[in-house]
Amino acid sequence: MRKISVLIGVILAVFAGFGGAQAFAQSGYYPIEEMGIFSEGDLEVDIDLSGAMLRVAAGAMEDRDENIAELVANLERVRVQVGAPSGVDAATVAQKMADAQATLGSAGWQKILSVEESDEQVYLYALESAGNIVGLTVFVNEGREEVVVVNIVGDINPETLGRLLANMRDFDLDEIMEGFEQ
Amino acid sequence: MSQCADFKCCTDVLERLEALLDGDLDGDEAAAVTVHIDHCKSCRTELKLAEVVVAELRSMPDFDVPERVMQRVRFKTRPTLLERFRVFLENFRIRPVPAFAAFAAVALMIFVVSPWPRPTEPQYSDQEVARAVAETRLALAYVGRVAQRAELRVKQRVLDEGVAAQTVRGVRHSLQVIGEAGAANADPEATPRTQVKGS
Repeated sequence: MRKISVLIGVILAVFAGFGGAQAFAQSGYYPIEEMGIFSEGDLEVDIDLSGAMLRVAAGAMEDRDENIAELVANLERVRVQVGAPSGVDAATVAQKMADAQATLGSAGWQKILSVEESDEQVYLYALESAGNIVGLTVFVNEGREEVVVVNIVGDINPETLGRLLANMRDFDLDEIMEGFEQ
Repeated sequence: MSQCADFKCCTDVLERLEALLDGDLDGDEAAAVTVHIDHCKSCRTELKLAEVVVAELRSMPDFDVPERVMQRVRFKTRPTLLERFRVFLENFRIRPVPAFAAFAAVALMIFVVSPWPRPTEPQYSDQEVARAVAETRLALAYVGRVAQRAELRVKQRVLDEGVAAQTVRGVRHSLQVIGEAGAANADPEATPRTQVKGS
């Protein structure tokens, strides 16, 4: 009896450890705030939306665009951090992004877009599960001028996302930023 | 062993001998068994034997059983949870399915009429909703910006390395042909007017 109890305990411990290690890989979550790029006061934009708030936002978007509303309704969490890192140099920022990419890669995320210029690096990673995207992570590194990190968690239909990206004229970033700052 | 017709056959009586000796039979049953034994020699013999065995057992001295052995005995003979539940239902003459249905109905009624707060979606002000919409659009805009940048880079690369480079190579080739033809017609010693560097 004692042996069985010990065996069950060991199995549970192993599975718990495995589950913990793979938690963000399975959920599409990536802890962007743990990258250590931004110091206090660096962030121009720091967004953390989840659960009920996203569903309310989706409901409010239904009148304007059904595609966006459908996409947002299935999201579980949206994290955005934008800022000019003051505490680290450009090489450190690049290294931290490389480390983050290695972590994502080892957890099964796929790099689906990348732009590597001398003054700008852009990466888009996606985690797929059963034919759907369950997580998107974006890195934009413009040296010390601006760094953008985005993590979107949820059931993201690739077709809906594709239609959305094809109609990105509706999403004028500068216009949104102006409205956001107001 | 004789067969009996007044109460039970011998087999049934022998099964009750121990209970009879222990006084566990009720009045009527004990009387019937006793009547049978009075008329049945073999059962009477069995009863006497049983009385001797019981007397011998009761005369044996008590001895202490190690607690570890008792624990094992208790563990082996303990009723399961299901058995205990069954006994509980039997004691109260409760049938499981109607009891479960009744319990579910009561629970549902309590849930429906109870004044306890149930978890609901939190309420947000218009301002909070507008901000959430803006923030969500901003997040999606960043994803879109990345896609647009990548698309622009791809287009630029195609133009630079594909169409443009091919056009440049074509123009160079044409100029080279023209230059060579001109040089052949003119003074072979003269320097060509057009010089193409590279290929």
